[in-house]
Amino acid sequence: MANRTDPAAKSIRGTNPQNLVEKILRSKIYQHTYWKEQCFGLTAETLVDKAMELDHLGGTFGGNRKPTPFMCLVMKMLQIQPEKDIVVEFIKNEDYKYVRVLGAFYLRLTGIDSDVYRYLEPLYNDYRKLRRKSTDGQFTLAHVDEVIDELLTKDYSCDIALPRIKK
Amino acid sequence: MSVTAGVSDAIIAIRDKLRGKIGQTKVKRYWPGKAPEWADDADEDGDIQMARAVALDKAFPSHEDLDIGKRDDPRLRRLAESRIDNREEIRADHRRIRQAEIVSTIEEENRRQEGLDFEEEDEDALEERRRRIREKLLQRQQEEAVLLPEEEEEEVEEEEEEESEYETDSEEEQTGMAMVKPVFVPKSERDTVAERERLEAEERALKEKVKRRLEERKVETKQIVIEKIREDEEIQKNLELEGNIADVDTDDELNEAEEYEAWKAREIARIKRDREAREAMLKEKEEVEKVRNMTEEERREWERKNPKPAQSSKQKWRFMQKYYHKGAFFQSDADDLAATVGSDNIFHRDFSAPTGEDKMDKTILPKVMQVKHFGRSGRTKWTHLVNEDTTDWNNPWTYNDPLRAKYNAKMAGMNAPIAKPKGSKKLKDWESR
Repeated sequence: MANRTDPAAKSIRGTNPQNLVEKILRSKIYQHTYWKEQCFGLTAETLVDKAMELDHLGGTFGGNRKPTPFMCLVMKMLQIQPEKDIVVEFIKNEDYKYVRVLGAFYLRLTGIDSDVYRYLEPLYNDYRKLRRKSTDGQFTLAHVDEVIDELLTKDYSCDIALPRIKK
Repeated sequence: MSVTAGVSDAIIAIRDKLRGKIGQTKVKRYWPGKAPEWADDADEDGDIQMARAVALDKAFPSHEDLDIGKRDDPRLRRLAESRIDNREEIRADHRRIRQAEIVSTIEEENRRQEGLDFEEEDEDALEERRRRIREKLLQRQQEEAVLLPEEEEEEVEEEEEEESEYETDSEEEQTGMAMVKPVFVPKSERDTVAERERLEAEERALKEKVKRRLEERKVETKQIVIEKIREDEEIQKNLELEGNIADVDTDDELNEAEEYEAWKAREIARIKRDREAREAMLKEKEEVEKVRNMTEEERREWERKNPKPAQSSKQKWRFMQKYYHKGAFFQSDADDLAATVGSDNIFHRDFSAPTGEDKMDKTILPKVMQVKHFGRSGRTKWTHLVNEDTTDWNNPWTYNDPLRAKYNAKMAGMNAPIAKPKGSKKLKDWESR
């Protein structure tokens, strides 16, 4: 039960939305304690609370490829598929930068090209600092606009292959 | 048998005899629980041996050992009778012999106590044993005391009878059963002593084993504890390695101006990059258009001026070198912005270089061996078209001569040299649309 997508959710890019994340990473997330404890029965509202508690972003780290809570929350969003309005709200909010980045990430994965560009480009102006966890477990400094840039130009970010969009 | 179910067997036997079936063995049916026929005749007193002897006599009447039989008969009879009568006494005899053994151990203990072969190091065990022996002695003395008055009474009455019986019994025993003659065994050779010593040695060994096991277990537990501690330490270390969150400062309030500057630099870099990418695309498109609309001669000039990226000097392949395709994937340029992994150096290798088999010069081989996959079951016998051409060039309509050339020129399709395809107008318009 816990790992199945909402049956009412629509498929993204022709596939189960959870399949956007690769199988290996997906299994790693399912087995992670953060997922098992916190992400059980999350709804859109409670998700916001969890997102506000985030304090770093990143993909997997360590020899074990442990996923970060950021990853788990992305997965959860894919699973419950919040409305576009909610996601836009995430992006528009100014107070919590990690919530913003979370929303941006989700939109990049699931939105159509025009939406992606429309909502993500304004984020270029946000130059706040972010904490980023690299693959060896160390934290590095990053900025919001750098992250957005990565999302828009690169194929691959935070250990998830991003879907192709036009330049 | 079904036919003769109601008829007795005697009648059947008589009938068979009359018919001439003497000597034939008849197989009787077996019922579980019912005694077979030959068993019915034997008497059931309980003397199985007697009965068996009787049956044997019946079956095989022996005329030879009658004399011997007479002599053994009383013995057999006595044996059979003695069996019934003397069972309990024989059992008592057995018991008596065993008790005699224990008595000897007590003597041994006494001897030891005197200190002849004193090898014991454990004084406590020794005292224990002494105590036990004393108790036993006391018990026996008491028993004897109790028995003595009884025995005295009985003895007086039945002394004679007992003695006589005893004597007769012993006589009978001697003649009836085969008994071992009691031989005196010196102390050093007595089995009982050795057995006892062995038992004691075993006990000691057991105790030592238990002690050793305890010690081993102690050592093991210590090791386990050490390992556990080490594991805990490692876990701690790893946790710390994960990196302090406080290492990276994400406080945004600090130095707004600096932040802004940094951001501006980044934005400018990004904008520049975008612009350049766009310009490059435009330029390419223009060039393509221009080249497409040129005529042949201008094109040739153009190409001479802007040669295509110098083709890596093509190596000449050896005779019958195998073709190797380097693969269609993972070919992205190192400069590609979208790609996460640049191409590996291996993709820049020269894939037309000879390897392995190709290094050998195949021209020196005999013609038969100059084929692909020589020796393998999938080898091909045919080489190439020109080689396998079987046209007979002697025919007037195949060999090249001026007549043929004139005819070819007249044939359709052989006139003009093949021109470069111009491309369809529709496709060109599609791009601009």
